[in-house]
Amino acid sequence: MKEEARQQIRRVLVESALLEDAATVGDDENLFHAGLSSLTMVRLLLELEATYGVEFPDETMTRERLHSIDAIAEIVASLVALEP
Amino acid sequence: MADVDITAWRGASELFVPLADGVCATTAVGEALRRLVRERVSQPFRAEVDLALELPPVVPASVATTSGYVASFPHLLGAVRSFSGTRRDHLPLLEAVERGDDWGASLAATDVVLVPAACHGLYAVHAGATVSSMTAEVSARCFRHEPAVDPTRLQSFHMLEFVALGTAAHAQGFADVGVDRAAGALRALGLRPEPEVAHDPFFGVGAAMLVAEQEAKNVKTELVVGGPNGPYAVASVNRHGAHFGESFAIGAGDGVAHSACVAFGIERVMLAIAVAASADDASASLIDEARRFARSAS
Repeated sequence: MKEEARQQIRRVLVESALLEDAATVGDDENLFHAGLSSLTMVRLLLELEATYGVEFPDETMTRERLHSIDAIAEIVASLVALEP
Repeated sequence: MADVDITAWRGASELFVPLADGVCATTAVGEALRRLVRERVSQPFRAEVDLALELPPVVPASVATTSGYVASFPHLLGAVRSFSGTRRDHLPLLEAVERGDDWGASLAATDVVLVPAACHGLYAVHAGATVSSMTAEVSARCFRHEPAVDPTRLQSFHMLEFVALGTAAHAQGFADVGVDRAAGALRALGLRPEPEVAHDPFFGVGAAMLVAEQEAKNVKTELVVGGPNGPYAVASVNRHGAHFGESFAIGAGDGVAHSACVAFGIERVMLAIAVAASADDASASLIDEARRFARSAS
């Protein structure tokens, strides 16, 4: 699941042109350092919520928790696992 | 739907007449006081104002998308819709009205929105241009869709802003002294404002992150006074950085324009004056002056 989420996050970043280096940014690289703004992150999270039918809880809404593709994929995977 | 409740606000009934949730009419005394408040709070800023703008109640919808308002505050936005159907479409509209049904479906979006914040008009005026550092006074009747019985949450209200637009140093310098100047202006009206770190009411999934960032960066400081329903802000100082300069492609100096603003919620200041007037001479004399002006004008 986590690998699928990783691929989906990168797909959204590339297809919606949210990040210039979306195709090459490392899975563990800091997205904000790579140029992603908070508002663009919101756009990404909305796409993921729609794709997986989940809602990111408020406590995950920090730059630290959402810093990389890996970190976001981890959260998505755990939210999907909680789904009935 | 309940009307705005001003019964706990001593003296406010002389200024406002509730019409609906978050909607008040203003009396002649209230209108006179509004003018006086605007004149008084302007005093610390007047000498440096290069440009004064009075916005109409609407701005192009593109201003609200470009500023980021639609993305971040869709729950507060008021977009103007109108009937643009044919004669054939007229009947369903009339029937819906007669039945008491939702007739909004017969209306379509226009290309204007109600003004969400006064300073956005200044950036729209200078979009795509390179500016010399300036300070502007921008006044607007703003709209925020937050219907409430608390009179501090009017849907339609007057916002008076002093906006620094130009180099980073210009905007920074303006914001650095903004809190003290605004607080001084409010104290001269008999109010006791206290500064508080604050944040904008972002909507949706990233709200918590955006709020934390604003607070960590000290983007917004509100000047808060006590009221019958608890403390509320009467003014705010906002450091926008390059946000609006980038959004509206405004240049200044060698780079992107920065901005900062001091914003007064005029009706909130008026409410505070009405309450303070029973105990404070400055507030009481302002109300007296407004009464005299209203009488002489009638």
